[in-house]
Amino acid sequence: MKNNIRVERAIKNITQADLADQVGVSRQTINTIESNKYVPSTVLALKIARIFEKPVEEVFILEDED
Amino acid sequence: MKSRFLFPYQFKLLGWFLAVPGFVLGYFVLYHEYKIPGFELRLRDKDALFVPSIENFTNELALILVLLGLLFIAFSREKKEDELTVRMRYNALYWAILINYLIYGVWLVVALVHDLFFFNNQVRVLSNFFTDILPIWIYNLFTPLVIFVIRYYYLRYSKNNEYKIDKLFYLPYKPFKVIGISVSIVMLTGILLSFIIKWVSGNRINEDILEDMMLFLPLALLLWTYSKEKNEDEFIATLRLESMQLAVYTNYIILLVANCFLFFTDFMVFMFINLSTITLFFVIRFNYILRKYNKATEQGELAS
Repeated sequence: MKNNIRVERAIKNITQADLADQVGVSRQTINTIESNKYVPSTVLALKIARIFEKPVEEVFILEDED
Repeated sequence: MKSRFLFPYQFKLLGWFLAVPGFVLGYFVLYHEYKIPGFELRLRDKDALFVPSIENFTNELALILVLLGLLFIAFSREKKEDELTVRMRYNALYWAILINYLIYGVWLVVALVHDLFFFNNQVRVLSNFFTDILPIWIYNLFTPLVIFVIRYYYLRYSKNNEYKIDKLFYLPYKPFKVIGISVSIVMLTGILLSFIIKWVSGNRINEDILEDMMLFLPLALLLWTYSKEKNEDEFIATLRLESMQLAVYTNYIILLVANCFLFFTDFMVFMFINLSTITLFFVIRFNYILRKYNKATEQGELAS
């Protein structure tokens, strides 16, 4: 699974730390998700998508090998 | 995943203050037979074989300090606890138990080979030079926690910006699960029967075979623990991780209690049982919950 969090953050102009605070996780966790090394839980994915005001499929994209 | 059963963040520091003196004291107890003068109680009137009348509590103190300290270091919250730190902790624990018992397996093989060469083919793992230097049943009381702490701190702090997570390791279902289960059950039955016979009839049993079974049981249970279910999936993986955490907690609670109430030969026997208990508690808890869910699913399907 890949994600557009970095792009979406740029659009909203917020930092990793801002996003982390808003969804209640640590900054390292956001960074680890952004670099595609951790697949977040459904709850966390929904929270992140809500911050960006987009459906979750626009932020998190399933890949062929998944 | 939510974090469960963790100590407050401040306990991490407290843990170091307990564990470090504990290790120093433990080293002197184990290799220099140090005893804190006067830190003892007269438990019996007379000395008996292997059971002196006066019990000095220095070794018990050292073990309590080491275990409590390590538990605090290992299982206290992060400042900012979230689902990834929980996951990291779970996966690192699953990894650490595997590594602990692989090291144990290597030790066992080396000890056996050593016996073959130095004792004219009399293979008795428990009575030789090698086991005096590295008595693994003593080390195994705390190595699972030490390996976990090292692993967790590495994953947590090796990169400034990012956490690392271990991938879960499994052996294939076939043939490892079947081998693991059958060998474990045969050995467990054998060990149980030996103990029962010993207690009930007081007869001498073949202690060598009992000893060997207790030494090899951890490896059989390891196969059982680390081989896949037929229908392994994300849910089962989570169940595994939770069960491992509970197994480790249960193991250490029992160990701390035993340390306070068992002495001499009783504690020696307990240490040998303890070699297997983490993986034993794991397979019991994991399979119990899995059965329960499978049953519930079957009934649910019939109902709908």
